[in-house]
Amino acid sequence: MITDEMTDSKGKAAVGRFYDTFFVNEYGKLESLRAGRYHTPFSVVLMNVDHGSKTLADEDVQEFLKRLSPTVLDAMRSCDVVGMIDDRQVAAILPETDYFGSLISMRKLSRAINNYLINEPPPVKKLIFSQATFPKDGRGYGALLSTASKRMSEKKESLWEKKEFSNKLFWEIIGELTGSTFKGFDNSSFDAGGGYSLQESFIDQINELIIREITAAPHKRGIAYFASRGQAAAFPMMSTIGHIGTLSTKVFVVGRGDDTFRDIKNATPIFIDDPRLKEVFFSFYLTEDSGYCLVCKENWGSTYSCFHSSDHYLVDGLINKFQVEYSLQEQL
Amino acid sequence: MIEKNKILLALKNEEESKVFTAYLFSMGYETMTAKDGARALESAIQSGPAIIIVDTDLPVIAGEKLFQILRNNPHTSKIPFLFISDSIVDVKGFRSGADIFLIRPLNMEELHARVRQTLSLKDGLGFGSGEIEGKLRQMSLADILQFLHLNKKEGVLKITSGDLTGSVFIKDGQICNAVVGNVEKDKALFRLLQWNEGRFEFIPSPIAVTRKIATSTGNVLMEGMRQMDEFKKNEAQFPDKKALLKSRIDASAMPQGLQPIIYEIMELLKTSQRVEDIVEMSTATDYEVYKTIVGMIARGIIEEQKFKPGEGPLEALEFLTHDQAVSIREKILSRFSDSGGAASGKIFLIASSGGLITSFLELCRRIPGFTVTYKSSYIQTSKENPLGPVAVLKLYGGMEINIFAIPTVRGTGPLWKSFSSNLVGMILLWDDEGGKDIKEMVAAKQDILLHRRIAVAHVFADVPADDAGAPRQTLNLKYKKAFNLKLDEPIFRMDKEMIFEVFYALFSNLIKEDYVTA
Repeated sequence: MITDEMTDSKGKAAVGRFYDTFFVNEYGKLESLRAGRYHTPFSVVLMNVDHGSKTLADEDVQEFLKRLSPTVLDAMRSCDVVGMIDDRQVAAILPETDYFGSLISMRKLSRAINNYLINEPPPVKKLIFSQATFPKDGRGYGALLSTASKRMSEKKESLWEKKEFSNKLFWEIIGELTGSTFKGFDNSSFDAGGGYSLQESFIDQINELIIREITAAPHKRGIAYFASRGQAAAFPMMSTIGHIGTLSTKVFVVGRGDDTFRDIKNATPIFIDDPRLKEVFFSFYLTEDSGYCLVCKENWGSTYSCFHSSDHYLVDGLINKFQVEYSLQEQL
Repeated sequence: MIEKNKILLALKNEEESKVFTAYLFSMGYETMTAKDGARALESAIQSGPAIIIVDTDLPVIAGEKLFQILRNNPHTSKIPFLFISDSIVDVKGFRSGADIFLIRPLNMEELHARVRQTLSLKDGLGFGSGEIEGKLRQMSLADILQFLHLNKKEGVLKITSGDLTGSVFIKDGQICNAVVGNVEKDKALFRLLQWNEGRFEFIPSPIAVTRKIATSTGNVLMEGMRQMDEFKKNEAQFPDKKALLKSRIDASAMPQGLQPIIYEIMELLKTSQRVEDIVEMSTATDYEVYKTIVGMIARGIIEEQKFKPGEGPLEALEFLTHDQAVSIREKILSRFSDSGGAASGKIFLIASSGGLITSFLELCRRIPGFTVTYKSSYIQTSKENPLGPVAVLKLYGGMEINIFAIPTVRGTGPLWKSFSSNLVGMILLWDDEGGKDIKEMVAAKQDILLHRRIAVAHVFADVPADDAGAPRQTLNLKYKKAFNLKLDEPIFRMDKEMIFEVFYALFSNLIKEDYVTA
């Protein structure tokens, strides 16, 4: 049971409230020293109040954060330290938490806050999250905060936030991705098959490439989903996943009952009887270093409208949507 | 005694327990159920299940407590736990890799997959050990396979010889598949049969791989031994593995109805001309490939390329000194030490056409330790739009530099960013034809450099001899301007002399000594 005395002594404004800036900064510095000494990871999650085009006064934001604080604290673990780092930003220090652990925390936070915001009076508010993990993103607390801030701006620029995909259903997003033309280095569309310069097998080549990346570093943690048509025939590389030792990447093969895939070691089959999977297939691959997604829609005459992206946030969001909407295990 | 297929289910919800029991029964597992933690504890100690599926919120003794009690008991400490919970719970003593944590709602298929995965892991790695093991010098692989066949064994036979490792998957005594490196099926098995030195270990475990060797064990072993004998007998007639082959007729003009291996070799020749590469990439066994190559040479379909002394691509040339190779290795290892990757670096090869990549790689073969791999199941496509590893440069101490090709067709940008881990350099390759779309390559270069600080080598496929001289200088200036290069930054010619310079330029930062100021 948390008492007022306890929270006061720890620099907390009140029960169920965030810690103050001084406490969080000091704790962050100590945590980075501890992590450095014991070679353990820890993560920092940054929350920023976004209010779209309307400007909110600092006082309004602070009032809002005060109301929100019990919801945030309920969603976090008891070992996590959450506090204000400036008037509009909240940081959560997650001890012994790696990149994937921090993503899970962000998902939990996001869900809890979205539920809370349903009853929140206007103007509409939204929270954007970003994270950084010790030691990959920085060895000091300051470096981690700066990486997380940089990622916050990247996230605001990501397709996931720009197109507000978080408010859309998985198949709506897929439809939008394959139905529009994207040009750029992060998000791009291409056509394959038929008379196009890229053959149909280029799509399989990309999948093969993902599998090669997975098998080349079996100790590297990651998650991959493959929803491919005519799987065994189009996917000879998949069997190699079963021939190597233990994989740290979780590989899921999405499709309808296909016995050849049921039997691959290191790959978990997910059988979904959805007619949409007959004409659309996708691959999602997420690691701490990179994210990649490929979504292809089959058109008439064996041509394919494909979208692919190296946007981490989009890949993470798509994986999350897919897991939630098909009642799959929410995991990373 | 731990029973192989028995699962203990301890769930608080009876309905859920019934559903799980029915599903797991249909999958061939025997289940025991317990309504609370105390009964689960009793059952676990008495029956020794293979895995315990437990609710974290069990009445009487909570799931976490049950886990800790059983972990402290030497008879039950090795039983893996599968926790099911409504929310994430931090379980003390959770063994990552052995225990599993799942959150409701559950997908039955996934539950089954996790159970199966845990059980196979438990049988294969954590708790069991090789039932039969020994040295190949004492017992040949053929004898071991016959022994396993007669005893109708099921499991994996692992063979190691030096740095090489191979596996033979056996079910009911029949060989289902064999794997060695990137090779599988009969081809891999026949290679393994030739290993005389090394160790073997048979790990009994349920085998779920697709049967890829259809012939019975007796027949496949007989055929393997025959091919081994034939290979030894005819070895003198076979072309040298380093020899280069050339097609004498157009592949499309080949008559129908020939043996499939002939078409396959013709197809492979478009990508690689070296005998050893063709043998490696073909799906047929080594002996069959060599025999077919000899036959094709005799019939005039292909020919061996002859080189004058000093001109050949095969003479050993000095590339990097020992110190330079060590320096490259050390720098790559220190730069990517926290990425969890193996001892390897990556060089992007971005070319204006697939044909240029093939020609470039052919020139690179002169570099000691350089091997063209084209690791792809889609040889034809990979030639036109190469994607992924196309060659490897082996350096000192097992360090590998993977040459990684990415097509420059529009819209492949996300591939550059996502697959650029361990990137140490980039080669941009274009010819006069590709120079028309140079903007795309320039944009690619800028984008990659924005994310990674790496060395870039610019290689321009030479203009024809008639046009050499002044036009080349003009072209150089034009491309230097396009790539925003300084006047003293080189654009390399694509010829056999300059190929070393290209790699020296890429490695220059890695070779350079670090100066430490006092």
